[in-house]
Amino acid sequence: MGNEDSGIVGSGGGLPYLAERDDSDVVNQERAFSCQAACARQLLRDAGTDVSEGELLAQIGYLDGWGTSANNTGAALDKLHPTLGFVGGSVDPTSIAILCRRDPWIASLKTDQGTIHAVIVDTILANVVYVRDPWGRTGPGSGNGTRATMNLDAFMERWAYALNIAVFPNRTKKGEGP
Amino acid sequence: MMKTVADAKAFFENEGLYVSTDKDRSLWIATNVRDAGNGVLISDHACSLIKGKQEWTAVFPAEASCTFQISGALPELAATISVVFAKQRVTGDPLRDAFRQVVPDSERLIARQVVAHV
Repeated sequence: MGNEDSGIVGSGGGLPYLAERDDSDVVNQERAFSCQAACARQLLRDAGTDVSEGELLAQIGYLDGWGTSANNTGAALDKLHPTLGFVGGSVDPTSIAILCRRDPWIASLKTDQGTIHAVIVDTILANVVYVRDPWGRTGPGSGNGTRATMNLDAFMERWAYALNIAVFPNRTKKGEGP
Repeated sequence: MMKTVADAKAFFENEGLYVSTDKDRSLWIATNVRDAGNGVLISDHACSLIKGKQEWTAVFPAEASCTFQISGALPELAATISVVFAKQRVTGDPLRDAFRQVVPDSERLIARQVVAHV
């Protein structure tokens, strides 16, 4: 990550970030409720697969005013990701150490406004959680998302308030036929 | 008298529910827990119970990634959670439907995904 000190502290997404900075490589969600789909789009882009948010929302199923469900997002990623299988749902919070030993995953967190927002968890180092947030500075239309850091205790509390919802890779597809 | 995370864990385990705790601040209560791979445990029927500064909050699934949130005293919330899971066991429906059947005026308790930030 690096360069945390150059970012403005605080999040337009209403999460208690230690530091946050714009990153043109992080996708910006295009709709108010599409944060989880935008995170899925980012994970696909990381793997070299470019899918529009609109295409993803059509595959996942988008309830206007509600957003997307983790199990549907996991199923879409499972189908589209070139190398990893995915699953989504409410997970035992003690599984976080296992989740963070693998590839990046999507977590739902409660914001200051009481709403639920999805971010990508890249890693946890020394009780600091490193995330990518598709909200950006001002939400849809920001142009890009942000990279941010969060205290682990704060993350765990926000995650619990969002039912410990996660979309995560659970296997490699090596050896699986087309 | 139920006062602590440990008290609540014992209560729910006695009800036959799977319970996981995060330090002394929250519980993850679930049924039909399965290993989704490499030991990551997942459930289609789970709720959270979180200790706040003055009261506790129970969180149940609603549609999409949204939740129902209900706050109050630990014994009352524990009783509600127990009844919701009992209802789900009988009907086999999603936990959100059991919550709606058990808790009156449940729609006002919904926390939605991001709408707008100020």
